[in-house]
Amino acid sequence: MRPISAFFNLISQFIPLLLTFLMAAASYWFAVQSELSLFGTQGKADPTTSDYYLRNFSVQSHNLAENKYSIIRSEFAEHIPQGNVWNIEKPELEQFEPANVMVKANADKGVYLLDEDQIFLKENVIVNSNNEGLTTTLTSDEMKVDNITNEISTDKKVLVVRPGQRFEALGATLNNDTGELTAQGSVKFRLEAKQ
Amino acid sequence: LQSDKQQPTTIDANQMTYNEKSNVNVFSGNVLLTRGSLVIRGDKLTLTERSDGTQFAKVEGKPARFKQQRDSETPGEVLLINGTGNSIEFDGDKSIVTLTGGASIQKSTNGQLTESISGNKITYEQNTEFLNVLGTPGKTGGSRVQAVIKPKTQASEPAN
Repeated sequence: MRPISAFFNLISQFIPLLLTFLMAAASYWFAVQSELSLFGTQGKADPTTSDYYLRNFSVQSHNLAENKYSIIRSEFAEHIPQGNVWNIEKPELEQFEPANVMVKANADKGVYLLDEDQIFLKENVIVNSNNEGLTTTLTSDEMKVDNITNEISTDKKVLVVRPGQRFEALGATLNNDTGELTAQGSVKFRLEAKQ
Repeated sequence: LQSDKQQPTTIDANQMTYNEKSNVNVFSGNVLLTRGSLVIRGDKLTLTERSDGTQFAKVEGKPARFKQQRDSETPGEVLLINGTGNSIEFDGDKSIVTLTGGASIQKSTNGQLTESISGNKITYEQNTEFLNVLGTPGKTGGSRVQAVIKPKTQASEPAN
Protein backbone atom coordinates (compact mmCIF):
# COMPACT_ATOMS: atom_id res chain seq x y z
CA MET A 1 0.00 0.00 0.00
CA ARG A 2 1.50 3.32 -1.00
CA PRO A 3 2.29 5.76 1.82
CA ILE A 4 -0.24 8.57 2.06
CA SER A 5 2.23 11.23 1.04
CA ALA A 6 2.65 9.46 -2.30
CA PHE A 7 -0.75 10.69 -3.33
CA PHE A 8 0.38 14.11 -4.38
CA ASN A 9 1.23 12.89 -7.82
CA LEU A 10 -2.42 12.08 -8.45
CA ILE A 11 -2.72 15.47 -10.02
CA SER A 12 0.23 14.89 -12.28
CA GLN A 13 -1.80 12.20 -13.97
CA PHE A 14 -4.02 14.99 -15.33
CA ILE A 15 -1.20 16.75 -17.16
CA PRO A 16 -1.74 14.84 -20.43
CA LEU A 17 -5.46 15.57 -20.20
CA LEU A 18 -4.94 19.28 -19.62
CA LEU A 19 -2.51 19.37 -22.53
CA THR A 20 -5.21 17.80 -24.68
CA PHE A 21 -7.57 20.51 -23.57
CA LEU A 22 -4.93 23.08 -24.52
CA MET A 23 -4.55 21.64 -28.01
CA ALA A 24 -8.31 21.53 -28.56
CA ALA A 25 -8.70 25.09 -27.31
CA ALA A 26 -5.69 26.41 -29.22
CA SER A 27 -6.90 24.98 -32.51
CA TYR A 28 -10.27 26.63 -31.91
CA TRP A 29 -8.47 29.89 -31.09
CA PHE A 30 -6.53 29.83 -34.36
CA ALA A 31 -9.74 29.18 -36.24
CA VAL A 32 -11.35 32.20 -34.60
CA GLN A 33 -8.29 34.38 -35.17
CA SER A 34 -8.35 33.64 -38.87
CA GLU A 35 -11.99 34.76 -39.02
CA LEU A 36 -11.25 37.91 -37.00
CA SER A 37 -8.52 38.92 -39.41
CA LEU A 38 -11.17 39.07 -42.15
CA PHE A 39 -12.75 42.04 -40.36
CA GLY A 40 -9.54 44.05 -40.33
CA THR A 41 -8.58 46.30 -37.43
CA GLN A 42 -12.15 47.14 -36.23
CA GLY A 43 -12.37 43.59 -35.04
CA LYS A 44 -9.75 44.33 -32.31
CA ALA A 45 -11.59 43.93 -28.96
CA ASP A 46 -10.44 44.91 -25.45
CA PRO A 47 -7.59 42.46 -24.64
CA THR A 48 -8.74 42.16 -21.05
CA THR A 49 -12.07 40.68 -22.03
CA SER A 50 -12.51 37.25 -23.51
CA ASP A 51 -12.07 37.04 -27.24
CA TYR A 52 -13.91 33.71 -27.29
CA TYR A 53 -15.32 31.15 -24.97
CA LEU A 54 -16.50 27.57 -24.74
CA ARG A 55 -19.69 26.54 -22.96
CA ASN A 56 -20.70 23.10 -21.64
CA PHE A 57 -17.77 21.35 -23.18
CA SER A 58 -15.74 18.27 -22.50
CA VAL A 59 -12.41 17.15 -23.83
CA GLN A 60 -11.46 13.48 -23.78
CA SER A 61 -8.08 11.88 -24.03
CA HIS A 62 -7.35 8.20 -24.71
CA ASN A 63 -3.88 6.96 -23.93
CA LEU A 64 -3.92 3.66 -25.76
CA ALA A 65 -0.38 2.74 -24.76
CA GLU A 66 -1.13 2.95 -21.05
CA ASN A 67 -4.82 2.09 -21.44
CA LYS A 68 -5.87 5.34 -19.71
CA TYR A 69 -8.98 7.31 -20.47
CA SER A 70 -9.45 10.81 -19.11
CA ILE A 71 -11.96 13.57 -19.49
CA ILE A 72 -12.23 17.22 -18.53
CA ARG A 73 -15.63 18.89 -18.30
CA SER A 74 -16.64 22.43 -17.58
CA GLU A 75 -19.71 24.61 -17.95
CA PHE A 76 -17.75 27.57 -19.18
CA ALA A 77 -14.22 28.51 -20.21
CA GLU A 78 -13.05 31.79 -21.69
CA HIS A 79 -9.81 32.91 -23.27
CA ILE A 80 -8.37 36.33 -22.27
CA PRO A 81 -5.88 37.71 -24.80
CA GLN A 82 -4.03 39.77 -22.22
CA GLY A 83 -1.74 37.33 -20.52
CA ASN A 84 -2.92 34.58 -22.87
CA VAL A 85 -5.01 33.05 -20.08
CA TRP A 86 -7.77 30.47 -20.03
CA ASN A 87 -10.30 30.77 -17.16
CA ILE A 88 -12.17 27.52 -16.66
CA GLU A 89 -15.22 27.44 -14.40
CA LYS A 90 -15.71 24.45 -12.10
CA PRO A 91 -13.35 22.15 -13.97
CA GLU A 92 -14.06 18.46 -13.45
CA LEU A 93 -11.28 16.08 -14.31
CA GLU A 94 -11.61 12.33 -14.29
CA GLN A 95 -9.12 9.65 -15.19
CA PHE A 96 -9.74 5.92 -15.48
CA GLU A 97 -6.88 3.45 -15.45
CA PRO A 98 -6.50 -0.32 -15.60
CA ALA A 99 -7.42 -2.38 -12.50
CA ASN A 100 -10.27 -0.08 -11.55
CA VAL A 101 -8.04 2.82 -10.57
CA MET A 102 -9.99 6.07 -10.80
CA VAL A 103 -8.86 9.59 -10.04
CA LYS A 104 -11.23 12.55 -9.92
CA ALA A 105 -10.37 16.21 -9.35
CA ASN A 106 -12.68 19.17 -8.88
CA ALA A 107 -12.14 22.85 -8.16
CA ASP A 108 -14.22 26.00 -8.29
CA LYS A 109 -11.81 27.57 -10.77
CA GLY A 110 -9.13 26.56 -13.20
CA VAL A 111 -6.65 29.07 -14.62
CA TYR A 112 -4.40 28.14 -17.50
CA LEU A 113 -1.46 30.49 -18.16
CA LEU A 114 -0.51 29.40 -21.65
CA ASP A 115 2.69 31.43 -21.96
CA GLU A 116 4.04 30.19 -18.62
CA ASP A 117 2.52 26.74 -19.26
CA GLN A 118 1.11 26.67 -15.74
CA ILE A 119 -2.27 25.43 -14.58
CA PHE A 120 -3.89 26.51 -11.31
CA LEU A 121 -6.77 24.70 -9.71
CA LYS A 122 -8.24 27.18 -7.25
CA GLU A 123 -10.77 27.14 -4.42
CA ASN A 124 -12.09 23.89 -3.01
CA VAL A 125 -9.62 21.73 -4.83
CA ILE A 126 -10.59 18.12 -4.13
CA VAL A 127 -8.80 15.13 -5.62
CA ASN A 128 -10.14 11.65 -4.96
CA SER A 129 -8.37 8.48 -5.89
CA ASN A 130 -9.77 5.01 -5.71
CA ASN A 131 -6.98 2.48 -5.77
CA GLU A 132 -6.84 -1.09 -4.45
CA GLY A 133 -10.34 -0.48 -3.05
CA LEU A 134 -8.97 2.41 -0.98
CA THR A 135 -10.24 5.94 -1.37
CA THR A 136 -7.76 8.72 -0.71
CA THR A 137 -8.80 12.34 -0.68
CA LEU A 138 -6.52 15.32 -1.13
CA THR A 139 -7.94 18.77 -0.42
CA SER A 140 -6.44 22.24 -0.64
CA ASP A 141 -7.37 25.77 -1.61
CA GLU A 142 -5.01 25.83 -4.54
CA MET A 143 -2.80 23.52 -6.56
CA LYS A 144 -0.39 24.62 -9.24
CA VAL A 145 0.81 22.35 -12.03
CA ASP A 146 3.92 23.69 -13.75
CA ASN A 147 4.51 21.83 -17.00
CA ILE A 148 7.96 23.35 -17.52
CA THR A 149 9.47 22.41 -14.15
CA ASN A 150 7.15 19.34 -14.00
CA GLU A 151 6.22 20.25 -10.44
CA ILE A 152 2.93 20.27 -8.59
CA SER A 153 2.85 22.61 -5.63
CA THR A 154 0.74 24.57 -3.23
CA ASP A 155 1.58 27.12 -0.58
CA LYS A 156 -1.81 26.67 0.99
CA LYS A 157 -2.90 24.16 3.61
CA VAL A 158 -3.11 20.68 2.15
CA LEU A 159 -4.77 17.65 3.69
CA VAL A 160 -4.54 14.05 2.50
CA VAL A 161 -6.81 11.52 4.21
CA ARG A 162 -7.54 7.88 3.75
CA PRO A 163 -8.81 5.15 6.09
CA GLY A 164 -6.38 4.96 9.02
CA GLN A 165 -4.07 7.73 7.85
CA ARG A 166 -4.07 11.53 7.80
CA PHE A 167 -1.41 13.91 6.49
CA GLU A 168 -1.48 17.68 6.79
CA ALA A 169 0.93 20.48 5.90
CA LEU A 170 0.94 24.19 5.12
CA GLY A 171 2.55 23.81 1.73
CA ALA A 172 3.96 21.09 -0.47
CA THR A 173 5.84 20.57 -3.69
CA LEU A 174 6.07 17.38 -5.71
CA ASN A 175 8.79 17.07 -8.32
CA ASN A 176 7.49 14.58 -10.87
CA ASP A 177 10.89 13.86 -12.35
CA THR A 178 12.56 12.85 -9.09
CA GLY A 179 9.40 11.62 -7.37
CA GLU A 180 10.35 13.72 -4.36
CA LEU A 181 7.68 15.43 -2.31
CA THR A 182 8.57 18.19 0.14
CA ALA A 183 5.99 19.43 2.63
CA GLN A 184 6.58 22.24 5.04
CA GLY A 185 5.05 24.42 7.67
CA SER A 186 3.80 22.38 10.61
CA VAL A 187 3.63 18.94 9.06
CA LYS A 188 1.29 16.56 10.89
CA PHE A 189 1.05 12.84 10.16
CA ARG A 190 -1.30 10.43 11.93
CA LEU A 191 -1.40 6.67 11.55
CA GLU A 192 -4.15 4.74 13.33
CA ALA A 193 -3.11 1.56 15.11
CA LYS A 194 -3.77 -1.64 13.21
CA GLN A 195 -6.92 -3.36 14.48
CA LEU B 1 2.28 0.77 28.41
CA GLN B 2 0.95 -2.37 26.77
CA SER B 3 -1.98 -0.29 25.53
CA ASP B 4 0.37 1.96 23.55
CA LYS B 5 0.27 -0.53 20.66
CA GLN B 6 -3.45 0.13 20.21
CA GLN B 7 -2.92 3.89 20.06
CA PRO B 8 -2.45 5.96 16.88
CA THR B 9 1.03 7.11 15.93
CA THR B 10 1.33 10.84 15.31
CA ILE B 11 4.32 12.71 13.93
CA ASP B 12 4.69 16.51 14.01
CA ALA B 13 7.58 18.33 12.34
CA ASN B 14 8.53 21.55 10.54
CA GLN B 15 9.16 19.83 7.23
CA MET B 16 8.81 16.50 5.53
CA THR B 17 10.26 15.04 2.35
CA TYR B 18 9.05 11.85 0.75
CA ASN B 19 10.77 10.03 -2.07
CA GLU B 20 8.54 7.71 -4.00
CA LYS B 21 11.42 5.74 -5.47
CA SER B 22 12.96 4.91 -2.09
CA ASN B 23 9.60 4.96 -0.29
CA VAL B 24 11.13 6.84 2.63
CA ASN B 25 9.61 9.78 4.56
CA VAL B 26 12.04 12.15 6.30
CA PHE B 27 10.61 14.55 8.88
CA SER B 28 12.86 17.35 10.12
CA GLY B 29 12.74 20.27 12.56
CA ASN B 30 11.27 19.88 16.08
CA VAL B 31 10.24 16.32 15.37
CA LEU B 32 7.78 14.80 17.83
CA LEU B 33 6.56 11.19 17.54
CA THR B 34 3.89 10.01 19.95
CA ARG B 35 2.16 6.68 20.39
CA GLY B 36 0.07 6.46 23.52
CA SER B 37 2.47 7.17 26.41
CA LEU B 38 5.53 6.81 24.16
CA VAL B 39 7.08 10.15 23.21
CA ILE B 40 10.20 10.52 21.05
CA ARG B 41 11.74 13.93 20.24
CA GLY B 42 14.60 14.81 17.93
CA ASP B 43 15.79 16.90 15.01
CA LYS B 44 15.21 14.38 12.22
CA LEU B 45 13.00 11.33 11.80
CA THR B 46 13.34 8.83 8.98
CA LEU B 47 10.21 6.71 8.52
CA THR B 48 10.51 3.63 6.38
CA GLU B 49 7.64 1.36 5.44
CA ARG B 50 8.60 -2.26 5.10
CA SER B 51 7.13 -4.49 2.42
CA ASP B 52 4.77 -6.02 4.98
CA GLY B 53 3.39 -2.57 5.75
CA THR B 54 5.05 -2.25 9.18
CA GLN B 55 6.86 0.99 9.86
CA PHE B 56 10.30 1.66 11.26
CA ALA B 57 11.29 5.07 12.63
CA LYS B 58 14.80 6.38 13.29
CA VAL B 59 15.06 9.65 15.22
CA GLU B 60 18.33 11.58 15.36
CA GLY B 61 19.09 14.51 17.63
CA LYS B 62 21.63 16.19 19.87
CA PRO B 63 20.49 14.12 21.68
CA ALA B 64 17.26 12.45 20.67
CA ARG B 65 14.99 11.75 23.66
CA PHE B 66 12.37 9.14 24.42
CA LYS B 67 9.97 8.71 27.32
CA GLN B 68 7.34 6.09 28.06
CA GLN B 69 5.17 4.98 30.96
CA ARG B 70 5.58 1.39 32.08
CA ASP B 71 2.83 -0.89 33.34
CA SER B 72 2.56 -1.28 37.10
CA GLU B 73 0.63 -3.75 39.24
CA THR B 74 0.33 -1.22 42.05
CA PRO B 75 -2.64 1.09 41.56
CA GLY B 76 -1.63 4.73 41.44
CA GLU B 77 2.06 3.93 40.98
CA VAL B 78 3.65 5.77 38.06
CA LEU B 79 6.59 3.98 36.45
CA LEU B 80 8.47 5.88 33.78
CA ILE B 81 11.39 5.12 31.54
CA ASN B 82 13.39 7.92 29.90
CA GLY B 83 16.20 7.58 27.40
CA THR B 84 18.57 9.67 25.33
CA GLY B 85 20.98 8.92 22.52
CA ASN B 86 22.37 10.39 19.35
CA SER B 87 19.90 8.16 17.54
CA ILE B 88 16.79 6.30 18.67
CA GLU B 89 15.29 3.61 16.51
CA PHE B 90 11.70 2.52 17.10
CA ASP B 91 10.39 -0.72 15.60
CA GLY B 92 6.66 -0.25 15.83
CA ASP B 93 5.83 -3.85 15.08
CA LYS B 94 8.22 -5.58 17.52
CA SER B 95 7.95 -2.72 20.09
CA ILE B 96 11.70 -2.43 20.40
CA VAL B 97 13.51 0.86 21.09
CA THR B 98 17.24 0.99 20.27
CA LEU B 99 19.37 3.91 21.49
CA THR B 100 22.85 4.40 20.13
CA GLY B 101 25.63 6.94 20.64
CA GLY B 102 25.99 8.15 24.23
CA ALA B 103 22.95 6.08 25.13
CA SER B 104 21.42 6.31 28.57
CA ILE B 105 18.23 5.11 30.19
CA GLN B 106 16.67 6.09 33.50
CA LYS B 107 13.80 4.31 35.25
CA SER B 108 11.79 6.07 37.91
CA THR B 109 8.96 5.21 40.29
CA ASN B 110 6.62 8.03 41.25
CA GLY B 111 9.27 10.49 40.16
CA GLN B 112 12.06 8.81 42.19
CA LEU B 113 15.04 7.60 40.10
CA THR B 114 15.48 3.87 40.60
CA GLU B 115 17.81 2.78 37.80
CA SER B 116 20.27 4.56 35.54
CA ILE B 117 22.13 2.75 32.77
CA SER B 118 24.47 4.08 30.11
CA GLY B 119 26.55 2.59 27.34
CA ASN B 120 27.19 2.95 23.65
CA LYS B 121 24.08 1.03 22.57
CA ILE B 122 20.97 0.11 24.55
CA THR B 123 18.15 -2.07 23.30
CA TYR B 124 14.88 -1.89 25.23
CA GLU B 125 12.13 -4.44 24.54
CA GLN B 126 8.94 -2.77 25.62
CA ASN B 127 6.84 -5.92 25.95
CA THR B 128 9.28 -7.80 28.21
CA GLU B 129 11.10 -4.73 29.59
CA PHE B 130 14.32 -6.56 28.70
CA LEU B 131 17.34 -4.23 28.45
CA ASN B 132 20.49 -5.09 26.54
CA VAL B 133 23.42 -2.67 26.97
CA LEU B 134 26.67 -2.60 24.98
CA GLY B 135 29.76 -0.50 25.71
CA THR B 136 32.49 0.43 23.26
CA PRO B 137 34.93 -2.49 23.37
CA GLY B 138 38.67 -2.27 23.10
CA LYS B 139 39.45 1.41 22.57
CA THR B 140 41.37 3.11 25.36
CA GLY B 141 39.08 5.50 27.10
CA GLY B 142 36.16 3.71 25.40
CA SER B 143 32.84 3.76 27.20
CA ARG B 144 32.05 0.74 29.32
CA VAL B 145 28.57 -0.16 30.45
CA GLN B 146 27.55 1.55 33.68
CA ALA B 147 24.48 0.72 35.71
CA VAL B 148 23.29 2.25 38.96
CA ILE B 149 20.40 0.46 40.63
CA LYS B 150 19.09 2.06 43.79
CA PRO B 151 18.21 -0.42 46.56
CA LYS B 152 14.60 -0.42 47.63
CA THR B 153 14.31 1.90 50.69
CA GLN B 154 13.89 0.28 54.23
CA ALA B 155 10.38 1.70 54.53
CA SER B 156 9.07 -0.13 51.56
CA GLU B 157 10.09 -3.56 52.92
CA PRO B 158 7.21 -5.71 54.20
CA ALA B 159 6.93 -5.88 58.00
CA ASN B 160 8.11 -9.31 59.43
